[in-house]
Amino acid sequence: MTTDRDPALDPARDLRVERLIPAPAATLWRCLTEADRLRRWWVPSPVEITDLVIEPQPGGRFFTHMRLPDGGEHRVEMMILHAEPQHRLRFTDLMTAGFVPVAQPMFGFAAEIALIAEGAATRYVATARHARPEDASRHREMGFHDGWGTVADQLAALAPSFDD
Amino acid sequence: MQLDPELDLQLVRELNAPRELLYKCWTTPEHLVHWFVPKPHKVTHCSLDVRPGGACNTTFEVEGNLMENNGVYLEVIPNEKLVFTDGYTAGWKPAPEPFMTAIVTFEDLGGGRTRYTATARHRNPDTAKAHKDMGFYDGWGTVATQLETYAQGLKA
Repeated sequence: MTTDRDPALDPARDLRVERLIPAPAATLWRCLTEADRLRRWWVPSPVEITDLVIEPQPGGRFFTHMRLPDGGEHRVEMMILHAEPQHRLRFTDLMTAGFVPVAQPMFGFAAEIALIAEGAATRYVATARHARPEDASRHREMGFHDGWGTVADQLAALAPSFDD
Repeated sequence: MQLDPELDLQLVRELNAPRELLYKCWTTPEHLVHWFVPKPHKVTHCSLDVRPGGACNTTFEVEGNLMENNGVYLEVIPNEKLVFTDGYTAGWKPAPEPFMTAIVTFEDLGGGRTRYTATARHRNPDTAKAHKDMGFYDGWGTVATQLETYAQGLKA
């Protein structure tokens, strides 16, 4: 096979955040794909999620409704690209549910969250890929590492409380 | 499927061939090259990795010019549905300036007949209009007829 479904990291176009989390991959998978768990860590506190829909299958809806500390509200419609249970979840802001291309995406990425078992812990590797280096730069400047890093820390704090 | 008349183009045909055969023609490079572009244009290269995230790459020769189309499958339901796009390449890597996302469905009508629906989704009305003006209905219609004829030849 000449094609690659797991492309190597492209430093010019890809951004990545990585954490070792003291919980099994099965628990992290549930935290990632069950709405009532995901809403507890998916956005940096004190932003709150007031509604969340996730359909972990190709073309599935991934919707979040957030309330900001200043009372403002923010709706984000994204799409699930692919779900490999316990291992990888992929999603994108370049399309919405049912494969509808987005004309002006906020960031313009396809993301992959990989869960890799390491003994009793799990390595959480979140990668956002972009079409152009300038898209990646813009996403970095908008606070990618801080935002995605903060929510990974929130997940690391929450996940060990589940006894799945 | 909800259509947006500003963004989507759709062709629906009833084809006189079983859907398993039509799906095979869509997913096997040796078959696809025979019908995928209106004759006398040619498919000169075809590489298909038929699974979500797998490459869906074709090259056409149109009046001496080579046109490369590199994309990815987004959804694959054997014998029923294929979704592919040039919005990403293999491994779901986003691509600049995507043109369209295609959704092809094969519905069994019984008696070896299939309702074949090909939908092209675009990210803005200008792209949809450009695709329509390039001859979407004529082109995809011709290709559907070529597919039917080719599949019938395989059946015989």
